[in-house]
Amino acid sequence: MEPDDLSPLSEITILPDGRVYAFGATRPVLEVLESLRGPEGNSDERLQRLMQTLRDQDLTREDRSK
Amino acid sequence: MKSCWATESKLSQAREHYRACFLCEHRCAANRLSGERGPCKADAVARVYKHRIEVGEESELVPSHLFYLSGCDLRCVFCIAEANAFDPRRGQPLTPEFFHKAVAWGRSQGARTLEWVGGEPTIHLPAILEAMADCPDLPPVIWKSDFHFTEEALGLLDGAVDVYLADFKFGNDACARRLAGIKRYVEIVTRNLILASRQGDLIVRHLLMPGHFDCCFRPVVRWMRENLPTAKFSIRDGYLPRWQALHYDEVAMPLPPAVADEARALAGAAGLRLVV
Repeated sequence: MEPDDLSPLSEITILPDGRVYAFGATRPVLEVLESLRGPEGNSDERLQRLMQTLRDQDLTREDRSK
Repeated sequence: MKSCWATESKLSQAREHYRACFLCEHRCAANRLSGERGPCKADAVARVYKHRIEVGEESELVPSHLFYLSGCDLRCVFCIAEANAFDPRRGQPLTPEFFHKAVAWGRSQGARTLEWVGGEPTIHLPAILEAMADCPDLPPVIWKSDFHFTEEALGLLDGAVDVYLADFKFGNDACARRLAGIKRYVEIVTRNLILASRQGDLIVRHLLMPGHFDCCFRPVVRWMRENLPTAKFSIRDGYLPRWQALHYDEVAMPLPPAVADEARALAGAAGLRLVV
């Protein structure tokens, strides 16, 4: 079954000072944000934490399927 | 097979609120079956205007399958859900059949948890309990709420919800009255926070808003330190002016960059259990 979204958009807002906001964050949205690192490779701590959580879960699922 | 919390007595008590609604602290007693409407404007049909897997919640909850229900008992001028929050006619009816298929889809997509969001899910509590009652393979359930519900509503949730995700938006009644249109905010929300902490896991969220550090954030931190020092506390710093916020000077702008760091430092110094 496919989701019956009536407002299926995620929103990314970038302020002039470079701050990035995401509403309706799906995994692909996070992956896009992760690719938008600052000039010194900086990435938001919360974003890093969320991506790490998802990757840890991927590993757990792979282990279970072995 | 019905979940153990889903007794006919509980489901029946919940349905009674459609005849005389006391689900939120407006206590309007509207007969939603006969066409009466309270401040939330909802009838006796819960409607889902969006559902999908999201990963933007607190990291311990994701990936979560979010069910967005239209309609709300508050009127926050800065609401990110905008018109969907305030028009309970939006979306498709929440029926057990629709819900069970949607949950199976969410599970197949890797959802670890299921989260009810709004609007405000509490105004649709009878339909939600009915949908969950005999749902197979239901993941842990998160109740994301403004916490403006009654004690009766919270009692109905006991056993059906694993995690209460509370929006503690305001630190005083004047800001709540002005920006959300409700009275007795602090008394109601803090009562419910204490009660919810006794019947499930609790995460207390606070959305930082520009111009509300001293009047709202500081009192929230103080209250948490004095009353729920071991509860999880989540500081949300993604405020952007939405809906009608442009008409209210101090919240008509994004959060200044330094505020989030200052807030985390203050909450940390108060010994709160911060989660991200």
